[in-house]
Amino acid sequence: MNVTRRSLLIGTAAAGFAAGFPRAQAQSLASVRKVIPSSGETVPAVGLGTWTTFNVGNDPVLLDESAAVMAAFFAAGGRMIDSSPMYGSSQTTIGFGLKKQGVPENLFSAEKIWISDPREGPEQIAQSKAYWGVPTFDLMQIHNLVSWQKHLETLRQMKSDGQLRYIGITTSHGRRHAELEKIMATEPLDFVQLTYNPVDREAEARLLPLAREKGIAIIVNRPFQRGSLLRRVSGQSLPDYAVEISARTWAQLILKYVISHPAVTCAIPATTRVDHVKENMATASGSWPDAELRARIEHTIAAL
Amino acid sequence: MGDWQSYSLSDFLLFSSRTYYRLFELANNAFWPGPLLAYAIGLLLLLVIWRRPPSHERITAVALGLAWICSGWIFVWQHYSVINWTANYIAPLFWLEGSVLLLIAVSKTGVTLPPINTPSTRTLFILLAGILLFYPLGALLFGRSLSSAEIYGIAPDPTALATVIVLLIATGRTRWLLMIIPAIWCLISALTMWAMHAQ
Repeated sequence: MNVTRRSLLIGTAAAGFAAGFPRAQAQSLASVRKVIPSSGETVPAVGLGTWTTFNVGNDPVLLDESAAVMAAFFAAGGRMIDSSPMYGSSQTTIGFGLKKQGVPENLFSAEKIWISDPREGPEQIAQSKAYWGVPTFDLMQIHNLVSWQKHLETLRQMKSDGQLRYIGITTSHGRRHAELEKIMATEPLDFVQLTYNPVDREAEARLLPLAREKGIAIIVNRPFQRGSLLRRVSGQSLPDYAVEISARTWAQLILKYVISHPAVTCAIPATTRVDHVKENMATASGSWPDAELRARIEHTIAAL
Repeated sequence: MGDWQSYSLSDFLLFSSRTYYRLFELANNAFWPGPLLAYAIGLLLLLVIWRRPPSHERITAVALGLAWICSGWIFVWQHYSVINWTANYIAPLFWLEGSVLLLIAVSKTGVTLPPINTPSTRTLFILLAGILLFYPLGALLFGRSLSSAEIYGIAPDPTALATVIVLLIATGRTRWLLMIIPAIWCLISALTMWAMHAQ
Protein backbone atom coordinates (compact mmCIF):
# COMPACT_ATOMS: atom_id res chain seq x y z
CA MET A 1 0.00 0.00 0.00
CA ASN A 2 1.36 3.36 -0.94
CA VAL A 3 0.80 6.09 1.60
CA THR A 4 -0.13 9.48 0.34
CA ARG A 5 0.66 12.70 2.14
CA ARG A 6 -3.03 13.10 2.97
CA SER A 7 -3.38 9.67 4.47
CA LEU A 8 -0.18 10.17 6.39
CA LEU A 9 -1.51 13.28 8.08
CA ILE A 10 -4.80 11.64 8.84
CA GLY A 11 -3.04 8.59 10.19
CA THR A 12 -0.86 10.69 12.40
CA ALA A 13 -3.66 12.76 13.77
CA ALA A 14 -6.24 10.11 14.28
CA ALA A 15 -5.00 6.57 14.53
CA GLY A 16 -1.51 7.37 15.64
CA PHE A 17 1.69 7.13 13.80
CA ALA A 18 2.92 3.66 14.51
CA ALA A 19 -0.48 2.12 14.25
CA GLY A 20 -1.25 3.94 11.02
CA PHE A 21 1.82 2.98 9.04
CA PRO A 22 2.85 -0.58 8.67
CA ARG A 23 6.56 -1.03 8.22
CA ALA A 24 8.24 -1.74 4.95
CA GLN A 25 5.83 0.40 3.03
CA ALA A 26 7.25 2.63 0.38
CA GLN A 27 6.77 6.37 0.54
CA SER A 28 7.85 9.16 -1.71
CA LEU A 29 7.34 11.93 0.80
CA ALA A 30 10.09 14.46 1.20
CA SER A 31 9.23 14.91 4.84
CA VAL A 32 6.65 13.64 7.23
CA ARG A 33 4.54 16.16 9.03
CA LYS A 34 2.76 15.68 12.28
CA VAL A 35 -0.23 17.43 13.72
CA ILE A 36 -0.22 19.90 16.59
CA PRO A 37 -3.38 18.74 18.37
CA SER A 38 -4.42 22.12 19.76
CA SER A 39 -4.57 23.77 16.33
CA GLY A 40 -4.48 21.13 13.64
CA GLU A 41 -1.41 22.78 12.14
CA THR A 42 1.23 20.39 10.91
CA VAL A 43 5.00 20.51 11.39
CA PRO A 44 7.77 18.31 10.00
CA ALA A 45 8.54 15.54 12.46
CA VAL A 46 12.24 16.41 12.57
CA GLY A 47 13.31 19.77 13.94
CA LEU A 48 16.62 21.28 14.94
CA GLY A 49 17.89 21.58 18.50
CA THR A 50 20.64 24.03 19.43
CA TRP A 51 21.82 22.94 22.90
CA THR A 52 25.64 23.06 22.90
CA THR A 53 25.98 22.88 19.13
CA PHE A 54 24.99 26.48 18.38
CA ASN A 55 26.77 27.98 21.39
CA VAL A 56 29.71 29.20 19.32
CA GLY A 57 30.10 32.74 20.62
CA ASN A 58 31.41 35.29 18.16
CA ASP A 59 33.53 32.81 16.27
CA PRO A 60 33.06 33.76 12.59
CA VAL A 61 34.04 30.32 11.31
CA LEU A 62 31.69 28.44 13.61
CA LEU A 63 28.89 30.97 13.04
CA ASP A 64 29.14 30.29 9.30
CA GLU A 65 29.11 26.55 9.94
CA SER A 66 25.99 26.91 12.08
CA ALA A 67 24.32 29.03 9.41
CA ALA A 68 25.12 26.30 6.87
CA VAL A 69 23.45 23.74 9.14
CA MET A 70 20.36 25.95 9.32
CA ALA A 71 20.35 26.44 5.55
CA ALA A 72 20.56 22.68 4.99
CA PHE A 73 17.80 22.15 7.53
CA PHE A 74 15.44 24.55 5.81
CA ALA A 75 16.41 23.25 2.37
CA ALA A 76 15.40 19.78 3.49
CA GLY A 77 11.99 21.05 4.54
CA GLY A 78 12.71 21.66 8.24
CA ARG A 79 10.70 24.20 10.19
CA MET A 80 11.11 23.96 13.95
CA ILE A 81 14.22 25.37 15.58
CA ASP A 82 14.38 25.23 19.37
CA SER A 83 16.57 27.23 21.71
CA SER A 84 16.74 28.78 25.17
CA PRO A 85 18.35 31.72 26.96
CA MET A 86 20.18 29.03 28.92
CA TYR A 87 22.04 27.86 25.81
CA GLY A 88 24.83 30.45 25.86
CA SER A 89 25.08 32.22 22.51
CA SER A 90 22.77 29.82 20.66
CA GLN A 91 20.08 32.45 20.25
CA THR A 92 22.43 34.94 18.59
CA THR A 93 23.76 32.15 16.38
CA ILE A 94 20.23 31.46 15.19
CA GLY A 95 19.83 35.20 14.60
CA PHE A 96 23.04 35.17 12.56
CA GLY A 97 21.79 32.27 10.44
CA LEU A 98 18.37 33.83 9.89
CA LYS A 99 19.89 37.16 8.95
CA LYS A 100 22.33 35.53 6.56
CA GLN A 101 19.72 33.63 4.58
CA GLY A 102 16.57 35.53 5.47
CA VAL A 103 13.85 34.33 7.77
CA PRO A 104 11.97 31.49 6.03
CA GLU A 105 8.24 32.11 5.86
CA ASN A 106 7.49 28.76 7.39
CA LEU A 107 9.98 29.01 10.27
CA PHE A 108 8.55 27.54 13.46
CA SER A 109 10.41 29.34 16.23
CA ALA A 110 10.43 27.51 19.54
CA GLU A 111 11.97 29.34 22.49
CA LYS A 112 12.02 29.10 26.24
CA ILE A 113 11.65 31.33 29.22
CA TRP A 114 14.36 30.60 31.77
CA ILE A 115 14.45 33.02 34.65
CA SER A 116 13.48 32.54 38.27
CA ASP A 117 11.90 35.97 38.76
CA PRO A 118 8.60 35.91 36.84
CA ARG A 119 8.56 39.72 36.59
CA GLU A 120 11.61 39.53 34.35
CA GLY A 121 9.99 37.02 32.00
CA PRO A 122 8.62 39.48 29.42
CA GLU A 123 11.96 41.28 29.26
CA GLN A 124 13.76 38.01 28.65
CA ILE A 125 11.34 37.08 25.89
CA ALA A 126 11.87 40.49 24.27
CA GLN A 127 15.62 39.96 24.44
CA SER A 128 15.27 36.52 22.88
CA LYS A 129 13.23 37.97 20.01
CA ALA A 130 15.94 40.56 19.43
CA TYR A 131 18.60 37.84 19.35
CA TRP A 132 16.64 35.80 16.83
CA GLY A 133 15.58 38.88 14.85
CA VAL A 134 11.96 37.78 14.72
CA PRO A 135 8.86 39.80 15.66
CA THR A 136 7.17 36.96 17.54
CA PHE A 137 7.79 33.39 18.57
CA ASP A 138 5.56 30.55 17.49
CA LEU A 139 6.11 28.63 20.69
CA MET A 140 7.29 29.79 24.10
CA GLN A 141 8.07 27.10 26.64
CA ILE A 142 8.86 27.30 30.33
CA HIS A 143 12.34 25.86 30.65
CA ASN A 144 12.66 22.99 33.11
CA LEU A 145 9.56 24.07 35.04
CA VAL A 146 11.37 27.15 36.42
CA SER A 147 8.80 29.34 38.24
CA TRP A 148 6.21 27.72 36.02
CA GLN A 149 3.05 28.93 37.74
CA LYS A 150 3.76 32.64 37.26
CA HIS A 151 5.39 32.23 33.87
CA LEU A 152 2.38 30.31 32.67
CA GLU A 153 0.15 33.27 33.55
CA THR A 154 2.42 35.55 31.55
CA LEU A 155 2.49 33.21 28.56
CA ARG A 156 -1.27 32.75 28.57
CA GLN A 157 -1.73 36.49 28.52
CA MET A 158 0.78 36.86 25.68
CA LYS A 159 -0.97 34.13 23.73
CA SER A 160 -4.35 35.74 24.16
CA ASP A 161 -2.82 39.04 23.06
CA GLY A 162 -1.54 37.37 19.90
CA GLN A 163 2.11 37.68 20.86
CA LEU A 164 2.59 33.90 20.87
CA ARG A 165 0.89 31.10 18.98
CA TYR A 166 1.59 28.25 21.35
CA ILE A 167 2.73 27.78 24.93
CA GLY A 168 4.46 24.85 26.52
CA ILE A 169 6.69 23.55 29.26
CA THR A 170 9.88 21.52 29.14
CA THR A 171 11.89 19.02 31.06
CA SER A 172 14.77 16.76 30.11
CA HIS A 173 16.66 13.68 31.24
CA GLY A 174 13.46 12.18 32.62
CA ARG A 175 13.38 14.59 35.56
CA ARG A 176 10.36 15.90 37.46
CA HIS A 177 7.93 13.76 35.53
CA ALA A 178 5.50 13.54 38.43
CA GLU A 179 5.19 17.31 38.64
CA LEU A 180 5.01 17.60 34.86
CA GLU A 181 2.20 15.05 34.80
CA LYS A 182 0.19 17.14 37.27
CA ILE A 183 0.74 20.24 35.15
CA MET A 184 -0.28 18.43 31.97
CA ALA A 185 -3.39 17.11 33.67
CA THR A 186 -4.52 20.45 35.04
CA GLU A 187 -3.16 23.24 32.84
CA PRO A 188 -4.04 23.96 29.22
CA LEU A 189 -0.83 23.48 27.26
CA ASP A 190 -0.12 23.26 23.54
CA PHE A 191 3.30 21.62 23.86
CA VAL A 192 5.41 19.64 26.28
CA GLN A 193 9.08 18.96 25.65
CA LEU A 194 10.75 15.95 27.19
CA THR A 195 13.46 13.37 26.67
CA TYR A 196 12.59 10.21 24.81
CA ASN A 197 14.62 7.64 22.90
CA PRO A 198 14.96 3.84 22.79
CA VAL A 199 16.89 3.92 26.07
CA ASP A 200 15.17 6.75 27.96
CA ARG A 201 11.58 5.56 27.86
CA GLU A 202 10.17 6.80 31.18
CA ALA A 203 7.78 9.10 29.34
CA GLU A 204 6.03 6.11 27.74
CA ALA A 205 4.40 5.10 31.00
CA ARG A 206 2.29 8.15 31.74
CA LEU A 207 3.32 11.35 30.00
CA LEU A 208 2.99 10.29 26.38
CA PRO A 209 -0.43 8.64 26.90
CA LEU A 210 -1.53 11.71 28.86
CA ALA A 211 -0.36 13.98 26.04
CA ARG A 212 -2.54 12.06 23.57
CA GLU A 213 -5.48 12.17 25.94
CA LYS A 214 -5.15 15.90 26.58
CA GLY A 215 -4.22 16.86 23.01
CA ILE A 216 -0.76 18.14 23.86
CA ALA A 217 1.98 18.10 21.22
CA ILE A 218 5.25 16.49 22.27
CA ILE A 219 8.70 17.74 21.33
CA VAL A 220 11.45 15.23 22.02
CA ASN A 221 14.84 16.49 23.14
CA ARG A 222 17.99 14.41 23.48
CA PRO A 223 16.88 11.76 20.94
CA PHE A 224 20.52 10.66 20.78
CA GLN A 225 21.29 11.36 24.46
CA ARG A 226 23.49 14.24 23.35
CA GLY A 227 25.43 11.89 21.10
CA SER A 228 26.21 9.26 23.70
CA LEU A 229 23.61 6.88 22.27
CA LEU A 230 25.28 7.13 18.87
CA ARG A 231 28.69 6.53 20.45
CA ARG A 232 27.23 3.47 22.18
CA VAL A 233 26.17 1.93 18.87
CA SER A 234 29.17 3.21 16.94
CA GLY A 235 31.01 0.41 15.13
CA GLN A 236 28.10 -1.99 15.54
CA SER A 237 26.42 -3.36 12.45
CA LEU A 238 23.02 -1.95 11.73
CA PRO A 239 20.43 -4.70 12.33
CA ASP A 240 19.08 -6.40 9.22
CA TYR A 241 15.57 -5.20 9.88
CA ALA A 242 16.68 -1.56 9.48
CA VAL A 243 16.34 -1.98 5.72
CA GLU A 244 12.63 -2.67 6.15
CA ILE A 245 12.10 0.91 7.28
CA SER A 246 14.75 2.46 5.02
CA ALA A 247 17.04 3.36 7.94
CA ARG A 248 20.54 3.55 6.54
CA THR A 249 22.26 4.64 9.74
CA TRP A 250 21.86 4.20 13.48
CA ALA A 251 20.84 7.86 13.75
CA GLN A 252 18.01 7.29 11.31
CA LEU A 253 16.92 4.12 13.07
CA ILE A 254 16.79 5.88 16.42
CA LEU A 255 15.00 8.93 15.03
CA LYS A 256 12.45 6.73 13.28
CA TYR A 257 11.86 5.00 16.58
CA VAL A 258 11.34 8.32 18.38
CA ILE A 259 9.04 10.02 15.92
CA SER A 260 7.01 6.91 15.18
CA HIS A 261 5.55 7.07 18.65
CA PRO A 262 1.98 8.26 18.09
CA ALA A 263 2.21 10.93 20.78
CA VAL A 264 5.42 12.47 19.48
CA THR A 265 5.06 15.53 17.28
CA CYS A 266 8.66 16.48 16.60
CA ALA A 267 12.16 15.41 17.59
CA ILE A 268 14.86 18.05 17.78
CA PRO A 269 18.31 16.51 17.30
CA ALA A 270 21.15 19.03 17.48
CA THR A 271 24.18 18.92 15.24
CA THR A 272 27.10 20.99 14.03
CA ARG A 273 27.33 19.23 10.69
CA VAL A 274 25.49 19.68 7.44
CA ASP A 275 25.78 15.99 6.53
CA HIS A 276 24.23 15.07 9.86
CA VAL A 277 21.31 17.46 9.47
CA LYS A 278 20.68 16.02 5.99
CA GLU A 279 20.84 12.52 7.44
CA ASN A 280 18.41 13.49 10.20
CA MET A 281 16.00 15.12 7.79
CA ALA A 282 16.12 12.10 5.49
CA THR A 283 14.78 10.09 8.41
CA ALA A 284 11.39 11.62 7.88
CA SER A 285 10.96 9.77 4.62
CA GLY A 286 10.59 6.09 3.89
CA SER A 287 8.58 3.76 6.08
CA TRP A 288 8.15 3.52 9.82
CA PRO A 289 8.52 0.91 12.52
CA ASP A 290 5.37 -0.70 13.83
CA ALA A 291 5.00 -1.75 17.47
CA GLU A 292 6.81 -5.04 16.90
CA LEU A 293 9.73 -3.40 15.16
CA ARG A 294 9.92 -0.69 17.81
CA ALA A 295 10.29 -3.40 20.42
CA ARG A 296 13.09 -4.97 18.40
CA ILE A 297 14.88 -1.63 18.20
CA GLU A 298 14.64 -1.27 21.97
CA HIS A 299 16.02 -4.74 22.55
CA THR A 300 18.80 -4.35 19.99
CA ILE A 301 20.07 -1.11 21.50
CA ALA A 302 19.64 -2.28 25.08
CA ALA A 303 21.85 -5.26 24.29
CA LEU A 304 24.71 -3.11 22.99
CA MET B 1 16.50 8.66 42.00
CA GLY B 2 16.89 12.27 43.11
CA ASP B 3 17.14 14.96 40.46
CA TRP B 4 20.75 15.79 41.22
CA GLN B 5 21.83 12.16 41.08
CA SER B 6 20.50 11.94 37.56
CA TYR B 7 22.89 14.63 36.29
CA SER B 8 26.27 13.83 34.82
CA LEU B 9 29.09 16.34 34.64
CA SER B 10 28.66 16.75 30.89
CA ASP B 11 25.05 17.85 31.44
CA PHE B 12 26.41 21.10 32.83
CA LEU B 13 28.66 21.72 29.86
CA LEU B 14 27.18 24.45 27.68
CA PHE B 15 29.60 24.17 24.78
CA SER B 16 31.54 21.70 22.69
CA SER B 17 35.29 21.17 22.82
CA ARG B 18 35.72 22.55 19.29
CA THR B 19 34.13 25.84 20.38
CA TYR B 20 36.19 25.96 23.57
CA TYR B 21 39.56 25.44 21.89
CA ARG B 22 38.69 27.86 19.10
CA LEU B 23 38.43 30.55 21.81
CA PHE B 24 42.20 30.43 22.32
CA GLU B 25 42.78 31.06 18.64
CA LEU B 26 40.32 33.95 18.67
CA ALA B 27 41.88 35.45 21.80
CA ASN B 28 45.42 35.12 20.43
CA ASN B 29 44.41 36.68 17.11
CA ALA B 30 42.50 39.50 18.78
CA PHE B 31 45.49 40.56 20.85
CA TRP B 32 48.31 39.75 18.48
CA PRO B 33 51.24 40.31 19.07
CA GLY B 34 50.15 40.20 22.72
CA PRO B 35 50.72 36.43 22.94
CA LEU B 36 54.39 36.94 22.01
CA LEU B 37 54.74 39.55 24.74
CA ALA B 38 52.98 37.29 27.23
CA TYR B 39 55.32 34.42 26.34
CA ALA B 40 58.30 36.75 26.83
CA ILE B 41 56.99 37.79 30.25
CA GLY B 42 56.78 34.10 31.13
CA LEU B 43 60.42 33.69 30.17
CA LEU B 44 61.31 36.75 32.24
CA LEU B 45 59.47 35.26 35.21
CA LEU B 46 61.55 32.11 34.95
CA LEU B 47 64.76 34.08 34.69
CA VAL B 48 63.89 36.28 37.67
CA ILE B 49 63.04 33.35 39.91
CA TRP B 50 66.26 31.57 38.92
CA ARG B 51 68.68 34.50 39.00
CA ARG B 52 67.10 36.42 41.92
CA PRO B 53 68.00 39.96 40.84
CA PRO B 54 67.20 42.87 43.21
CA SER B 55 63.43 43.20 43.70
CA HIS B 56 62.92 39.71 42.27
CA GLU B 57 59.97 39.06 44.60
CA ARG B 58 58.30 42.31 43.57
CA ILE B 59 58.88 41.57 39.87
CA THR B 60 57.50 38.06 40.30
CA ALA B 61 54.35 39.36 41.99
CA VAL B 62 53.88 41.96 39.24
CA ALA B 63 54.36 39.34 36.49
CA LEU B 64 51.83 37.03 38.15
CA GLY B 65 49.37 39.82 38.96
CA LEU B 66 49.36 41.20 35.42
CA ALA B 67 48.94 37.70 34.01
CA TRP B 68 45.78 37.16 36.10
CA ILE B 69 44.30 40.51 35.18
CA CYS B 70 45.08 40.07 31.47
CA SER B 71 43.91 36.47 31.35
CA GLY B 72 40.74 37.40 33.21
CA TRP B 73 40.06 40.21 30.78
CA ILE B 74 41.18 38.76 27.46
CA PHE B 75 40.07 35.17 27.78
CA VAL B 76 37.54 34.80 30.59
CA TRP B 77 35.63 38.05 30.19
CA GLN B 78 35.91 38.81 26.50
CA HIS B 79 35.79 35.31 25.05
CA TYR B 80 34.82 32.59 27.49
CA SER B 81 31.83 34.45 28.94
CA VAL B 82 30.21 34.55 25.49
CA ILE B 83 29.73 30.78 25.51
CA ASN B 84 29.61 30.21 29.25
CA TRP B 85 27.59 32.67 31.33
CA THR B 86 29.20 31.43 34.55
CA ALA B 87 32.44 33.02 33.34
CA ASN B 88 30.87 36.40 34.16
CA TYR B 89 31.28 35.41 37.79
CA ILE B 90 34.71 33.87 37.31
CA ALA B 91 36.38 36.89 35.69
CA PRO B 92 36.13 39.04 38.85
CA LEU B 93 37.94 36.30 40.74
CA PHE B 94 40.80 36.57 38.25
CA TRP B 95 40.93 40.33 38.73
CA LEU B 96 40.84 39.89 42.51
CA GLU B 97 43.77 37.49 42.39
CA GLY B 98 45.69 39.82 40.08
CA SER B 99 44.96 42.87 42.23
CA VAL B 100 46.08 41.14 45.43
CA LEU B 101 49.32 40.05 43.74
CA LEU B 102 49.95 43.62 42.58
CA LEU B 103 49.22 44.88 46.09
CA ILE B 104 51.77 42.44 47.42
CA ALA B 105 54.24 43.76 44.86
CA VAL B 106 53.66 47.30 46.09
CA SER B 107 53.59 46.48 49.79
CA LYS B 108 56.55 44.12 49.46
CA THR B 109 55.13 41.80 52.08
CA GLY B 110 53.63 38.38 52.24
CA VAL B 111 55.50 36.17 49.81
CA THR B 112 59.17 35.27 49.99
CA LEU B 113 60.95 33.39 47.24
CA PRO B 114 63.84 31.19 48.39
CA PRO B 115 66.79 30.30 46.12
CA ILE B 116 66.27 27.38 43.77
CA ASN B 117 68.79 25.13 45.43
CA THR B 118 66.93 22.24 46.99
CA PRO B 119 65.51 19.11 45.33
CA SER B 120 61.95 20.31 45.88
CA THR B 121 62.49 23.87 44.60
CA ARG B 122 64.44 22.52 41.62
CA THR B 123 61.64 20.09 40.78
CA LEU B 124 59.05 22.84 41.07
CA PHE B 125 61.20 25.14 38.93
CA ILE B 126 61.42 22.50 36.19
CA LEU B 127 57.64 22.14 36.33
CA LEU B 128 57.29 25.92 36.09
CA ALA B 129 59.61 25.99 33.08
CA GLY B 130 57.51 23.27 31.49
CA ILE B 131 54.33 25.28 31.96
CA LEU B 132 55.77 28.57 30.75
CA LEU B 133 57.84 27.23 27.85
CA PHE B 134 56.08 24.12 26.60
CA TYR B 135 52.41 24.33 27.62
CA PRO B 136 51.58 26.31 24.44
CA LEU B 137 52.92 23.41 22.37
CA GLY B 138 50.17 21.23 23.80
CA ALA B 139 47.95 22.60 21.03
CA LEU B 140 50.11 20.79 18.46
CA LEU B 141 50.12 17.64 20.56
CA PHE B 142 46.33 17.52 20.48
CA GLY B 143 46.04 18.17 16.78
CA ARG B 144 45.33 21.88 16.94
CA SER B 145 47.24 24.65 15.27
CA LEU B 146 49.80 26.75 17.14
CA SER B 147 47.51 29.72 16.69
CA SER B 148 45.31 28.16 19.40
CA ALA B 149 48.26 27.81 21.81
CA GLU B 150 47.44 28.35 25.47
CA ILE B 151 49.93 30.93 26.67
CA TYR B 152 50.62 32.13 30.20
CA GLY B 153 49.02 35.53 30.76
CA ILE B 154 46.26 34.93 28.20
CA ALA B 155 45.00 31.40 28.75
CA PRO B 156 43.80 30.69 32.30
CA ASP B 157 45.21 27.17 32.71
CA PRO B 158 48.94 27.96 32.33
CA THR B 159 48.40 31.17 34.32
CA ALA B 160 46.84 29.30 37.23
CA LEU B 161 49.27 26.39 37.09
CA ALA B 162 52.31 28.71 36.98
CA THR B 163 50.93 30.67 39.92
CA VAL B 164 50.35 27.54 41.99
CA ILE B 165 53.91 26.37 41.31
CA VAL B 166 55.47 29.75 42.16
CA LEU B 167 53.46 29.83 45.38
CA LEU B 168 54.62 26.32 46.22
CA ILE B 169 58.20 27.48 45.75
CA ALA B 170 57.52 30.54 47.92
CA THR B 171 57.37 30.67 51.69
CA GLY B 172 55.05 32.58 54.01
CA ARG B 173 51.46 32.11 55.09
CA THR B 174 50.01 34.52 52.52
CA ARG B 175 50.83 32.12 49.73
CA TRP B 176 48.12 29.73 50.89
CA LEU B 177 45.51 32.45 50.64
CA LEU B 178 46.83 33.39 47.22
CA MET B 179 46.49 29.79 46.14
CA ILE B 180 42.73 29.60 46.72
CA ILE B 181 41.59 31.19 43.44
CA PRO B 182 44.18 29.40 41.26
CA ALA B 183 43.21 26.12 42.90
CA ILE B 184 39.52 26.82 42.29
CA TRP B 185 40.22 27.56 38.63
CA CYS B 186 42.35 24.41 38.26
CA LEU B 187 39.45 22.39 39.67
CA ILE B 188 36.92 24.07 37.36
CA SER B 189 39.19 23.57 34.38
CA ALA B 190 39.87 19.93 35.22
CA LEU B 191 36.13 19.26 35.51
CA THR B 192 35.52 21.08 32.22
CA MET B 193 38.16 18.97 30.45
CA TRP B 194 36.69 15.84 31.98
CA ALA B 195 33.20 16.75 30.81
CA MET B 196 34.38 17.74 27.32
CA HIS B 197 36.26 14.52 26.79
CA ALA B 198 33.43 12.45 28.26
CA GLN B 199 31.19 13.64 25.43
